[in-house]
Amino acid sequence: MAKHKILIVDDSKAMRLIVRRTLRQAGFDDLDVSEAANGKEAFETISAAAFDLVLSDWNMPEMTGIELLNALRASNNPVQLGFVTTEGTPEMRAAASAAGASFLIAKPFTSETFHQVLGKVLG
Amino acid sequence: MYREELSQIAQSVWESALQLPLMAPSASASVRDPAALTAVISFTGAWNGYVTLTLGESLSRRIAGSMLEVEPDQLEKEDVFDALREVINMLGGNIKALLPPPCQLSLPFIMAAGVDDLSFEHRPIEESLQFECGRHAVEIDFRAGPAPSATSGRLKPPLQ
Repeated sequence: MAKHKILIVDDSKAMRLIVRRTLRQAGFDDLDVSEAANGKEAFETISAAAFDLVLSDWNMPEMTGIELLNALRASNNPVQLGFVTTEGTPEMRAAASAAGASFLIAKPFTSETFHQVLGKVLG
Repeated sequence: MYREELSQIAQSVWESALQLPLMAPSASASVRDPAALTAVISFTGAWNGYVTLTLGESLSRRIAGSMLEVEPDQLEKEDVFDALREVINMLGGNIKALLPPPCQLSLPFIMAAGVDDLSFEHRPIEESLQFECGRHAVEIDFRAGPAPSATSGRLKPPLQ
């Protein structure tokens, strides 16, 4: 069975590592994981290869997470995208949902949250 | 203003994300060292202000080492800055939820800390929280007004 392809998008190298680690701790240890340091890099990466899920921060230089999502949808790319961000206010959650995000996980997060939320997406 | 909530947010970030204890300060907590760093993130909108996190170099490295799973003395300076930017990002994002909307969160940046206290002259401190983490001092300040920037002559340039 092919591994799920995941793209982690965050301008912080430390946070990208924490997300990887939390995926493993949540029981998702058989994934093909790639990384991008901002929305622009992520858009280029996603345009070149198929991903099952994008885990994206919101506030990033070059292109924010919401700008990335809007760009993907404008280019008819239906890839699932969930935000992993400090921006967890009701307004931001509503904006994320309206733009087509599958979920929003607020930082700081736990492996239990990853297991619960991503389990619905990755199975 | 929000002192209790700020304290709870700091505790949550420290214990969940960093998995380090954050306690009330004791007399043995070390004073700010010349190599201390200040992480800054600002809010603009219905309320304008910023929050700063100031740590000594040793604790900064310990935090970065924990996040990156690398020995503290093997970290590059940029790795330490990256880790602190993410810590202030988490503090700022959770503090933003306390503020009246609309509110926009800036990108975080790092400055050299402590030497030039004039950098915050005329900037009222809404709250100043002191903590201790492993006998090292942690200071979180919540201030009104525009955040310091590289264009201010009194400030050392941001150490991005």
